[in-house]
Amino acid sequence: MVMNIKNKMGQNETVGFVIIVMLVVIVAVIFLGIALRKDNPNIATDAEIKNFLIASSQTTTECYLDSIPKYRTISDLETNCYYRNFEQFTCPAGMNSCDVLNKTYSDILKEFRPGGRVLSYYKLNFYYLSGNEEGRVPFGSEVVFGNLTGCLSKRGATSEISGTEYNSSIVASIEVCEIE
Amino acid sequence: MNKNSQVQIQEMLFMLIGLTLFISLVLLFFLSFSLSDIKENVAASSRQGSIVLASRLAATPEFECAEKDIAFCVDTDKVISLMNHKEYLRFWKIKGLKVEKIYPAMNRIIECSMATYPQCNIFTIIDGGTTNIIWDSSYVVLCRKEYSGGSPYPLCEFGKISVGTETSTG
Repeated sequence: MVMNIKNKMGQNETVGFVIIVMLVVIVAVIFLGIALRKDNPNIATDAEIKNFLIASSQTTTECYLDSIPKYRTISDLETNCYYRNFEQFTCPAGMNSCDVLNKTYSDILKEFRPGGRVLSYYKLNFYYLSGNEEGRVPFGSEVVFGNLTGCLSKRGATSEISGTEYNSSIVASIEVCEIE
Repeated sequence: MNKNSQVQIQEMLFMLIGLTLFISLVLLFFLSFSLSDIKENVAASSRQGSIVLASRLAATPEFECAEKDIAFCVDTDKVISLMNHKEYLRFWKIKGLKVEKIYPAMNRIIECSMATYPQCNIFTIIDGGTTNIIWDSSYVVLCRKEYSGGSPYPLCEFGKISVGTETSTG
């Protein structure tokens, strides 16, 4: 009889211990899950990518207006490329503003390392935005490198290159993915 | 009966000690885990600060272009003369500062000096040395006055301004 009572109490203690251990394990797993789900802090911010778009748009190109040295910037070429007003600028032989725009950005993006990291993918495109997203007209050709396979965090930015009449603007947009 | 109670109290004590030890270990594990997370965040935040500092430096009178309408513009004529005035260097509490030309790309690194400017691609304003320095950059446009047929024009090239900060070794 005494032995039976002792056994039952021992069983109760074991069950209590198992319950406590299980509770602690569940809490630990939840904590671990939350901690591991957190992304690594990204050094390169979207602001840095936007900063890239703004700074690069002021780069002098080989195209000029009327005569040398009235060289035009990338921003000027974007506007000219959208309006397809190719006669306005003189560009290197056989090229128009859209071609020079594409070539210049291809060269610049090869050296673009946000946060010091090499890019596995980038896509730069230009569009004309009139009022809202529905009035989005792409122009020029995209500058693309790599692909999004295995990309864990795709980031990007847009920057208004020049405002035009009637609440519309010419916008450059970039998406990048870094090699982790 | 008395002995039985003593044994039970002993069992309970062992159980409580074991449980406390187990919970303490779990807590220690989480504490170290979250502390390392905090350290990572501090490092990332400090690097973000350096990136912001780099872009702010570009907007200081020592670097910025005369043309105020150009954003993130660094006047390289100012930078080259700044390199000869080492007394300015203690203004910025940083370990390293350099300005690099990215586009048009040159096929080798040429340090900028009065002798090589503007056919060069790196201005080392504060040499960070080699140990424990992390460089963080902000993209800028590097402009200077050029002349063609006697008329001046602004020539702007794409580059970056980098700030070097010491890494914590602790």
